[in-house]
Amino acid sequence: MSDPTELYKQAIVEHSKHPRNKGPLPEATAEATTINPLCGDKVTVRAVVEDGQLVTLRFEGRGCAIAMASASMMTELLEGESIEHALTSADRLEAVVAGEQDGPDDPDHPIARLRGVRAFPARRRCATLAWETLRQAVSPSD
Amino acid sequence: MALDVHALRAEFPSLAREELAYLDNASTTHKPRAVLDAVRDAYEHRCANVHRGVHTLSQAATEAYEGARDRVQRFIGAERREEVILTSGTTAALNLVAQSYGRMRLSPGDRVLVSEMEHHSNLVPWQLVAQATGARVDKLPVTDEGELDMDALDRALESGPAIVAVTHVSNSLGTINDVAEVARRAHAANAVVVVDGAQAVAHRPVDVQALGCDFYAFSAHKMYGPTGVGVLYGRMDLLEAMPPWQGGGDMILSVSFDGTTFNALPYKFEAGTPNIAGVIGLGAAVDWLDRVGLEAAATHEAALARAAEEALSTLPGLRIVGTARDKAPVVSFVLDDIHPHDVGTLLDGRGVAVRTGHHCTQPVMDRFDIAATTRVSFAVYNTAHEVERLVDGVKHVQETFA
Repeated sequence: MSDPTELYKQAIVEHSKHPRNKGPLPEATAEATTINPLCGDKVTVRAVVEDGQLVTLRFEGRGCAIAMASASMMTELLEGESIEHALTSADRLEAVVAGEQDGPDDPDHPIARLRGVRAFPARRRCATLAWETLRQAVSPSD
Repeated sequence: MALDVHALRAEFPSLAREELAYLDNASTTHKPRAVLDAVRDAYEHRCANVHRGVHTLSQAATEAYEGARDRVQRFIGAERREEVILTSGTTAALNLVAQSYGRMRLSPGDRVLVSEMEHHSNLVPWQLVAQATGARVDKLPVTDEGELDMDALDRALESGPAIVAVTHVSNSLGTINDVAEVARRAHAANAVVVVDGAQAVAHRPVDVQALGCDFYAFSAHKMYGPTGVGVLYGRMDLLEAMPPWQGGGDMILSVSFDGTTFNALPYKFEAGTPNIAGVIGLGAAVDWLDRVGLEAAATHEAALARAAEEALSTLPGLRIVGTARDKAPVVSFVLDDIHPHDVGTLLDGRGVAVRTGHHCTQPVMDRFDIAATTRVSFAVYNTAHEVERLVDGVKHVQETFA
């Protein structure tokens, strides 16, 4: 078994204790909520979208430290970015956590900091939850 | 007589890894070599279908299979062997009661009283049958300590529920319910009592006649036996009145396109080729538990649970959930500001296996206004050293988040 302590110390604990961009966003133009049925974790992602840009990005939710830290890092990374870039980043995060690609070389990049979750398959969904929710929020609905 | 835990532990090949402190026994227990050997022997030396062939091998398989039923009958104190229905597990047993007895008994407006601490498998089957029959499911509440509210039981019984469904031992709180008293009061109100015994049978002697329940369900895999095998005990007169649930081989006497005559008990409820080797493994698990002695096991496990509760209670920000007077060796707890899944992952990193989550008991989590707990559950092979490793591990979790 691999020891998750380093993962928690390097990435998870700080963001989960001091989440960025957590709170309501009454003026949101896009929003989605996802529940992880395995553990009941719940994440809501809201955004103000203008001209294809995520002008403001907020999240709310309850859940484990990995889910909350991942949501926090995601909003920090993607606020101000284009929807297109956000969707590419979500794909990349999921591929990195699944172990399909290594992701950014920069060890401080949020996606690189979440890479260690791949060693704990039961927790991968915790790391991807917020990113899935963002994808739902900004994908054109039918 | 005190147990020789280290000698017992040596009987479990899967516990040979010294670094593993397996404290998730309420999910499933490990299996002693006697059970593994019995399952292997069933395939190596008795590989044939049961109740069918006239050949020697089939008779050997049938004898071993039916011998296991006899062991179970004695193990739970059933009056007759026909009252022991072999199923694929507790869930299948409870669904059998709901779909066969429930559908027969329930009419629109009837009530099923289900305790708030039930595993989803003793709640959802009743919701399904209520939907089908027009009956309704009422909640029997749980107190702040995690015990059944017996005054609320009396009040609920005044409305005349047809069925009372209650667990013998709560898988998430550890509470041991006074099932005999529930049955006494429910019977006085003409209700039938269905007991989920999955968490009880490995930890204390169970006598279904002394409990006075009408149905009692449990699984082999939580009592050192194989997965995929369970038991439904039912009172003979009730089982006889009940229609079959599933149709297939073994549950019939004769079949034509004009109709089918069903087999006698217990086979009426055992359609299809059963988990023969698994049932034989269950018989071996009963023998093994007889040899170990449930009283001695209970004493040993209670000491471990008490030590764990005492040590964990001293940690800042830790709260034990479920403080009933009479508890099985289950300790559920929450930590301020640290989610159980993070506790579970960090403990796992130190070789301590615990269960985290809602434990398939969401209503009782809601009752205590929590989403999840970290649950520690002991078996006969656990040691005081493992309790120390658990407590050190929880301290490590708190330091990581400090």
